[in-house]
Amino acid sequence: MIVDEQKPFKSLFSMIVNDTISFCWLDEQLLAYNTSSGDTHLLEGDAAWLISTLSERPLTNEQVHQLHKQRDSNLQFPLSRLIMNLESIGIIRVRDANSGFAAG
Amino acid sequence: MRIADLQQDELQQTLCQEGIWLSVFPFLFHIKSNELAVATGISQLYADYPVAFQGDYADFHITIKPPAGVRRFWRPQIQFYLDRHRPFKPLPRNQSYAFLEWGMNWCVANHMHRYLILHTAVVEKNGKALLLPGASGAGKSTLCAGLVARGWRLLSDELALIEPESGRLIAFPRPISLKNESVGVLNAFAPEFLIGPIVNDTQKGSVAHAKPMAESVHSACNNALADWIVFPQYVDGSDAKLEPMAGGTAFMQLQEQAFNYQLHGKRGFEVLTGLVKRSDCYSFEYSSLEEGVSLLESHLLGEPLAVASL
Repeated sequence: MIVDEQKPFKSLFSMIVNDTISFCWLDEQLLAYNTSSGDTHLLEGDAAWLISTLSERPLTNEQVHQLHKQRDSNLQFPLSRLIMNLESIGIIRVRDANSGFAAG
Repeated sequence: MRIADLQQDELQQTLCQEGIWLSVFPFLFHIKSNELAVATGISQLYADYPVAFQGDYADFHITIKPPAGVRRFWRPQIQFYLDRHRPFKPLPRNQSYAFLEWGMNWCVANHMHRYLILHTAVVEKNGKALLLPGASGAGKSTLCAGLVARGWRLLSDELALIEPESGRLIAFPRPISLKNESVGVLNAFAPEFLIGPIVNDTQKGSVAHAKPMAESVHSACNNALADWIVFPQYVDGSDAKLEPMAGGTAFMQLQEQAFNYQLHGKRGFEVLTGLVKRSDCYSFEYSSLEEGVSLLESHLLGEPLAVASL
């Protein structure tokens, strides 16, 4: 996995913030190339969707809603904290603070 | 001048003295050796390749000769030299020709980093290239030889050279390496193939090399773009089975077969993803070469299955 299973967001943040990842969709799979380490990772399912979504910043309201929806379904990550952290450091912009996640 | 234009003793004598400048597109090898097996192997298997007796330049200067020391008297060995370096431990003398072939592969895989290099057989038909990546023993060379026998052009049976700027596959046709049972399998499937002497008890078992078709050598300067990537796996007793593979999975397996992917950095990622994007990817199990080749041709080229495989 591209993210540390124990600290998923720390590694994810640093890579996205530092813009050190190149992405490429092949069929329904996402390849992520870390230009710092030279490692290539294969991401599928939620992880692929999450990282791909985060890489398209700023997020739209619709994307934030989708993230919120995912939190209650099959994603194991604490997304509300993730979104707040992303917003606080300026990586994403949540246009409507009352639409869900800001109240987390 | 081609190797076939030379008498065996003339070739042997030149190999012992100045050496020969053997053009194996896209590289030039300067080869010296006093081993009869090396001269015989080159004479048989490189008959269609251009050669010169003098040269100002070569990509690789190779010498195959016995190592110094008294050991040679009771257990004859052979040593591979690149320039003055000995990158390998010596091997038993009866493996001298195979040593040359393995050493030539090593030279290219470890030095020609202007290409992205994959451990992959490559053949082409109707302008469309098929990659057959696989670890040693997966059956890629046998399948490659089977397809060549059916009229596919050999680009390489070991190393796919990808030009990063264009993504095109550069041909590097060489004798096809066969191991163990695959020698007999190819003999039965395509008796027209000229297969060199079998050398037993190597690290890879019994090995032999099959001479590439002259057409593949003569058209080596024609490169190709990938259309299919098929990951073969020989499975004893299995029916031939071709199944689509997701692009990401294919990429990861292809990356494992790359010699210098890391060296190319982000460009390597882009070249390899480009290769997978333009190709249909499959996993492929087979045990019968006849059935396997027929199924591949039927599916990839839309040709009817041979009666024997119906």
